[in-house]
Amino acid sequence: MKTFKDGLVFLNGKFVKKDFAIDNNGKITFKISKGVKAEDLKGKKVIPSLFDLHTHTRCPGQEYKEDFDHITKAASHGGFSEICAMPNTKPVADNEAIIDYIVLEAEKFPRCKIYPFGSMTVNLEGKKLSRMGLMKQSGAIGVTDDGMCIQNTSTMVKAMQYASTHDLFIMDHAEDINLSSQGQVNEGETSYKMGYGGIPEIAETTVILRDIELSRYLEIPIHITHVSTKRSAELILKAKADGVQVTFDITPHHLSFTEKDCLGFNTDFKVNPPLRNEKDRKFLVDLVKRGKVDAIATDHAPHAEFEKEFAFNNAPFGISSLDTAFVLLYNTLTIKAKIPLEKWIEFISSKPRNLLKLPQKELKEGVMANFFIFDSEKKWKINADDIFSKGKNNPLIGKILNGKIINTYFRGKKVY
Amino acid sequence: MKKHLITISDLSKNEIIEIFKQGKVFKDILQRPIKKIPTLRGKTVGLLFFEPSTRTKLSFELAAKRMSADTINFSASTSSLKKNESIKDTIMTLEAMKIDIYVVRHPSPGVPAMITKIIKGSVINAGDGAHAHPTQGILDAYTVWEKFGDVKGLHIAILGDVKYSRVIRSDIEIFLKLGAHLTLCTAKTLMPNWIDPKVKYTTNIEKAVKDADVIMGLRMQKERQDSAIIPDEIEFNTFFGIKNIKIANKKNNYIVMHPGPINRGIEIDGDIADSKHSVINEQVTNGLATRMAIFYALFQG
Repeated sequence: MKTFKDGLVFLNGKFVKKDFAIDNNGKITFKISKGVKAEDLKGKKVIPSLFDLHTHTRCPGQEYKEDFDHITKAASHGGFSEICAMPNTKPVADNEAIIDYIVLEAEKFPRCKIYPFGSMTVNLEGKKLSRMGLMKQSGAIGVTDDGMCIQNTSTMVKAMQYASTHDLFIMDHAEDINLSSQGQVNEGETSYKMGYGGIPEIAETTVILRDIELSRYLEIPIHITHVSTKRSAELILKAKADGVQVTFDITPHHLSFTEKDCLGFNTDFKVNPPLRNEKDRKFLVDLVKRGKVDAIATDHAPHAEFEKEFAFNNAPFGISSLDTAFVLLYNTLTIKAKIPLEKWIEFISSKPRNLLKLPQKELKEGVMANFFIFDSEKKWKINADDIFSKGKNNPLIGKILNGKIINTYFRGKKVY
Repeated sequence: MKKHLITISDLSKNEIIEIFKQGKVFKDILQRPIKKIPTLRGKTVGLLFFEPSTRTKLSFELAAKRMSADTINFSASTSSLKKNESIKDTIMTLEAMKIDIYVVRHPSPGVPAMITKIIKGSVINAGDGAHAHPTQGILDAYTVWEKFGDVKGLHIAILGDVKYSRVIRSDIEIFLKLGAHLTLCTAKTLMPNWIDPKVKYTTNIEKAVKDADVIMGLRMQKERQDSAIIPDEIEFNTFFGIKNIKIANKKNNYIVMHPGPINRGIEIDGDIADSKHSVINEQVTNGLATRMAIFYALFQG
């Protein structure tokens, strides 16, 4: 039995001062005997663990970028109890054997739960359908060709129909590769000033329009991940209003940074979709404020240091964001945009769990203890050692942020 | 002057004029029988060309030698460029040889700027992708300044491949800084999505050159283009090439410029390139003189 006192516990959408304990079975209890030794939380926040819909776990095959040991450490350090592994591994998670491997290997590191996604097409080639049914039997929770958006609309139709046959969650990374392939940063002033090809907004919006039409016509829900522009979000909101079953998520970095951050050629700001302009960023933050988004997802994309070194165009896309996603959101949404934590926390916890029809993590009597302790008052400078992910491609290194995760408990045990 | 020259924004207007004045002094020296001066004696200039170049490299090398510097050359083969880590390793190796000034050309924008972070000496950007080519901007603006006495208020028309040009980015920056009026004229497929709002754009060449004191052609960067940008070179030359028939009615004292190497019959017709208005070869001499002036300014601090 471990007892905590004077914490602000997140209960039914509010922070309330309450003492609680983890019992010997790892479950939460509010029945505390008087006089027991308790950890004094001194007003720190106790929050049910987070859920990430979009994590590049890299294994099998790219352990030089990330491995299960590091990713589970990074997840627990970041307050997450569950993360969704993207299928762009080597080999690609396009069959049940790879899904089996991920599920079994991940269980060896019981710091968080890993839900694998399978690919929609074999080897992410956009041609032949993956064994989606068998992958589901092995534990795949959804399907996506993330990073290699299916370009052929006819193939996309069949992939959606087949995924829907097995009642799999479908997530699309909307990108017209013919429009984007020469680009390194957002098209416009920044691409001009940097002298690099631009990735235009229409590379995203034209595919979103396609997906909306397919979803409407086929009556199959689709989720658009990492929406990066105002126009993209407006198209989705309009489709939702028309009754189309389309949902979307936004990343912490698209809420926090803009294309101007790339001007110094810092490859840690190089992401796909690219950081857009301030107008887009503000609009996305405003959507969170108005409660109009379905989820916030990290798109954690770790890379080895040598890959992100020097020439901007040779560096791969991606930010290693799992460690700092929650703290960055706290700074962007609560401190800067004045959106209370209790208003946006659901977008990175209960809402994405609902999308995937998964049980919630709550601080309730008798449920397994999955929570983290957050000191919202602490100011700290992030060093490379504070990034537990193998990928140190995090532009927050060297920056001072408000709020720090102190401890994380998973299945009743302290994992960070 | 700052320690490094990466883009035109590293220079103030006064510093640019100082380089022009010093450039004029060096240009005079270049006419003398003995063309060597001792300013950089004992200094080492490393010429790092990660991309093929003829005139820029020769110009920098000769400028350094005219000022009595020692020069070393590094030219990377295209294949070794693909391993990014080798750039850093190459620089660190050269750094151990105590180089004072690095002159860097690289196909990837930003590499000269990144090199400034790991070395002790100075870096001069000799062209990085489509990002910047500040010494070309300086020599172009010098050429106009020398011809007209001042750049302010002049009308400059620029034709050709804007989208893929590093020269245009540095030229726009320096000419706007010095108060010129700029008009770009090319096909919409050869224009970037964004351009400085002070710059005019037209698809009509007659309109572009009507009041122009300077007509500048930019090289068609064939090697950087993807497909379906222009139908072909004949069509491009017909509508956007610098041709006698198109510039026939304009004022008499205009000059024609081009950073070279020129594609005769594509962005500029041969008779124009060889006409009395053309200062294309003089630009090369001016390049040498202004690069000497830039070395000089770097060592003056």
